[in-house]
Amino acid sequence: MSEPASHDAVRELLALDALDALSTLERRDLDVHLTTCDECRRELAHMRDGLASIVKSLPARAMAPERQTAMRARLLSHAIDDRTRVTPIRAPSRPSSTRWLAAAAFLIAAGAITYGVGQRGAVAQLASRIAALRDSASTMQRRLADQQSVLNALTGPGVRVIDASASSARQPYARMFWDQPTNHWTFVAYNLPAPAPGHTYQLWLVTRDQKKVSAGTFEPQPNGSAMVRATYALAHDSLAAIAVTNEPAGGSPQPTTTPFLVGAAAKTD
Amino acid sequence: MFVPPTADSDATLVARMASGDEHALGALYDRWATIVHTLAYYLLGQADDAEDTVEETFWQAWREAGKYDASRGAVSTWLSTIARSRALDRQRARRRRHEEPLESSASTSAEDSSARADSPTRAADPHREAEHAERARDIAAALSKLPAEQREVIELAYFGGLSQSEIAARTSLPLGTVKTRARLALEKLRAPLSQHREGSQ
Repeated sequence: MSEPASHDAVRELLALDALDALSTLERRDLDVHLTTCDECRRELAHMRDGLASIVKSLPARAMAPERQTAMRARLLSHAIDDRTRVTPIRAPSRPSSTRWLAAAAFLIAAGAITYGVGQRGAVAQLASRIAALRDSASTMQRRLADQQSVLNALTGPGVRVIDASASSARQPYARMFWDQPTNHWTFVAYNLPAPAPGHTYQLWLVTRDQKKVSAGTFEPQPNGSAMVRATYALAHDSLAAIAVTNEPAGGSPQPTTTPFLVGAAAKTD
Repeated sequence: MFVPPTADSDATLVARMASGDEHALGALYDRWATIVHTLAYYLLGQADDAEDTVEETFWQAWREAGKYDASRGAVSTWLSTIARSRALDRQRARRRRHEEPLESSASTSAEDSSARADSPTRAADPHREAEHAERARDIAAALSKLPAEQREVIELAYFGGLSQSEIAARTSLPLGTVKTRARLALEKLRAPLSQHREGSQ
């Protein structure tokens, strides 16, 4: 393994990092150094601000007022949709029983009482641990509720299933479960490669009138699997397809690349 | 616009965006859309592409507001970084499609004349040629405090999106010289800024 780069060597890299012109190896050295060096972090921030100030000294190029206003309205409308419609699911973590946590909390509390009320420090410490355990318990309960909700969305009587596949070497494939009575969408995918740095995957619902509705951005787990959940009301006969595109980080208001996963929805009567 | 102007600082607006307040996005847009459009225009040279970049920039800012870190630079710097990255993506996509090889990199350096020669549109479009020259002059003026050799490195990296090794290849300079010029240039550019990190406008 190579030794960490010295402060002076890394300082040489700050300007190139501000210009986004570093090699991958140099960026890694710099990132490691920046985690512990306030001075370099500050210097880099000043350099970035300095570069951004160049733009302020260029002759301003404003958009046409009506186009600027229309864009503002579009952005706010997308933001409202984004805030209210899409709920990305967190990666499920180790399942555990909340009963164990409750029992542990009870034992700790009982222990605190029998150990002696005079030991305030110990009691305070235990109280803090109980509070932490309660937080964990409520987190677990939320996760269990999430998982129950996933099960409901996959197994309900009104669920439609749309498969999506690709033709690349690793053969990613995906399946969308659309619980029509509740408008819950659950998308699961496998064999997905990691998106390129600075990019993310974005899931789209494509309607029969060619409207593309974002159902959220996502990144696969290291094993290539991914799950996205969304809530979106759509008339039962208006879905034409689902699609996944590769988009710059943060996602896009509309697809900017050709979908690499597509699944056509069968027409319903 | 549609809501009264806010006195909130940029950082406060971004924090409000992170909590799902779309009005904060509107306020940030009102404050910075022209600057973002200016940068996108100078990088891309086309009004439609520049406008798309502005929309993508504010959308990404909305989606990633929770990741904004004030210690890495002012909000306007953050927006400029996003806008530059999105614009350079478009610029590279254009080059891949051979629509406009390197024309929009805004470089005024003599060394890129050979790279420009393979542009199929350049000779046929004197209007765009003139616009390109005008943009290049504006950029040179904005960087006028820098010596010519440092200015060239900044132009190629910041407005052209070239990596250090691409700059070295383009200018026939050793990598070490490219690094030194970039550092000297940014040290000059950063100096007056320590006093005026913007908060509210």
